[in-house]
Amino acid sequence: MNKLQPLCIALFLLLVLGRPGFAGTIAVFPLLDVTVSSNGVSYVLTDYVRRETADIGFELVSDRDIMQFLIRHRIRALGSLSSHEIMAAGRELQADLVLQGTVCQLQQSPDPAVSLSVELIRTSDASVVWANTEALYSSDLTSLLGLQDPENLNDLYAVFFSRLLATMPGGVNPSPGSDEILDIDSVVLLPKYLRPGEKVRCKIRMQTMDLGNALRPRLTASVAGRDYPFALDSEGYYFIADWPAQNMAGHYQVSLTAVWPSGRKKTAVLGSYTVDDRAPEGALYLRGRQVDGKTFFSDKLYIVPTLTDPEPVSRWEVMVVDQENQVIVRQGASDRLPYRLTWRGRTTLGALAPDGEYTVVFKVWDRTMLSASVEQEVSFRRSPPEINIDLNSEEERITVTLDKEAGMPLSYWWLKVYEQSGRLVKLAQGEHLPATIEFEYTDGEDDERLEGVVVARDILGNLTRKKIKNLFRLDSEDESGEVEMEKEWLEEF
Amino acid sequence: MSRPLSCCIVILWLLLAGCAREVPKLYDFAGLPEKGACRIAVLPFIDKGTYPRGAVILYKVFVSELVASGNFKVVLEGDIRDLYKQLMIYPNAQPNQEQLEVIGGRLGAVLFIGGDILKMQQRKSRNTMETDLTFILRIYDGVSGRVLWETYHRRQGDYYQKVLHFGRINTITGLARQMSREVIDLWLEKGMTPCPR
Repeated sequence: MNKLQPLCIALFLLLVLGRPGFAGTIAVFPLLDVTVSSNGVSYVLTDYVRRETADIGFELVSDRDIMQFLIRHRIRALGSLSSHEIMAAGRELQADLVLQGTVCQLQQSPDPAVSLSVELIRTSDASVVWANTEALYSSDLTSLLGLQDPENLNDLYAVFFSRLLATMPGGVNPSPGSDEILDIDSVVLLPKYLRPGEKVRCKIRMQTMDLGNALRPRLTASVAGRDYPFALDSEGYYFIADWPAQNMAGHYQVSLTAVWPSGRKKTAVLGSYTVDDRAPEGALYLRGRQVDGKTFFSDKLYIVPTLTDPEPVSRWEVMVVDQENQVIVRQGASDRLPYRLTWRGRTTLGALAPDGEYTVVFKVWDRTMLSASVEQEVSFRRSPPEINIDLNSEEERITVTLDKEAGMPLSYWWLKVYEQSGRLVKLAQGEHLPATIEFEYTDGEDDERLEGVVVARDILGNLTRKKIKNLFRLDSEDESGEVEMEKEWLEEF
Repeated sequence: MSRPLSCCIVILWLLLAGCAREVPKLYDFAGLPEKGACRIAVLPFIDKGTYPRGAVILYKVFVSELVASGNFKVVLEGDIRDLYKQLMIYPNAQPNQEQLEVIGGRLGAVLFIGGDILKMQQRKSRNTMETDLTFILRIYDGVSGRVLWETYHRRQGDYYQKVLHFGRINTITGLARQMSREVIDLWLEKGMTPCPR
């Protein structure tokens, strides 16, 4: 009998320790298969994992129950369950643990390969207690002599899943914490930017709105050291808290404090808002020609609206107002400020605006809709310089007098006098008018005609070109429409 | 080969080896919390590589390695994705500082880890599988959202090859796992304090 006693003990230990022990109930969720798509599922590999998990000693939740749970909770994304879903799985499936995972690589040919990442989550506190990633490629199992080398995925599976779950714990300690979690479903905190005293509203929805008053936590919003209690809205959909914005400008963080009937307390950040009490400071730069402190332009005016102290804006508007206080151009957007605008002297309808004085107005609204306005005068001059020509001839001496009407100062002018044969008789040029040009001319020919070309350009770029066919008769005509390309181009050049 | 020539070759080799970039490379912008980095939230990675769903793969592998290191409590990916939805952040976008403050305040995370995949590649070349992975991982402060540490890492699967085909990493998942381990080991070595037991 004494000889048999150690043998009996050894047999007992073998029976007790040799068989898989009960390690708790586990819900093995279908594996996400990213080799198929972002929402792919691999039921084949899930079955392998289930079998391997059962071999460790866990009691499995049936796959039918898991599928019903997924449908009931409208879970579309596998492999990334939230705390709320994990805890719900614990309650509804009576599971101590949840195993979820992702198929990262799966390749049948030319060389089979498989890789999988799994994590084990305790349902009582939704904490990850174990995780592992395993990757296997056919050549990883290739031996020196090439004997029994893997040829397909099944050959890999034979060793893969035991390796994957080799370090998985056979059981997990219960969590020290309680079941009360602050499971916020959604938060609406508006507005994000506001003025002092304006109303802030915070609406929150919890995952467990259907809890009775006895189980529901008391919720309070805390901002800048003050507390504002939440109250359930009339439809029972949201908890709502309202309060006036602080008088001091600044950025304020809103925290939620939940106190359960058991006395347990939890806090979480809900969001933040900005109180702004200062209107933006706009600045307007017009890029034209400066003459005596005034801005002039003829072709295009660059308008640069900006802020002296840059901040995000909610809306801006640039207008051009004429002397009768009519807005002839309006442009704006609910967007950031433009880098630059160009006004080509046309109204919004496309018509050319008459020469005159205009006011460019820039209005801007910041995110709290505090606005600022700034304006600048500009003169639009599109008309070319008016040049008057007068000629006096005394015997062989000819005097040409050039003068201009009031307008913009000239950049340059020139006068050329030709004979009928094309010979240049006189060339004169300058920057200021009036001017007098004198020259001698003896006509030996029958034809007494002298042709003249006058060109004048003002500082804005407006150009006048006049061709006088007979200077003695001064029957001038505007040449702007004539086509004498080569000659004109050469002269311009 | 003459002796002076041999010496020159050895010196040149040593110089070139000295110039090679040592990875993983850690850039320390600010100190980590002194109390330890117990609860960590890993944010979805930004994928600038070409491997299909590479960011998802690296995310799963990195989280798995972080948990396996046994030192950290990692926030569930589902909780982070829920918050991304609430805050209307695209999974491939980096949250701004204000959003990070909210995420940190809601999840109770001491630190965030985020990152960019710069290159992720696996292709067949003759008889071998060539794997190549480059990424940057950043550690953010869980309260302010400020970047504290940044780590650059780059490896190819054949780097680990020892004799014949042995040691070589032939899958991108395997390479991601190995590199994640190296980064976590470096962080622990450089003073990242784990959860108190």
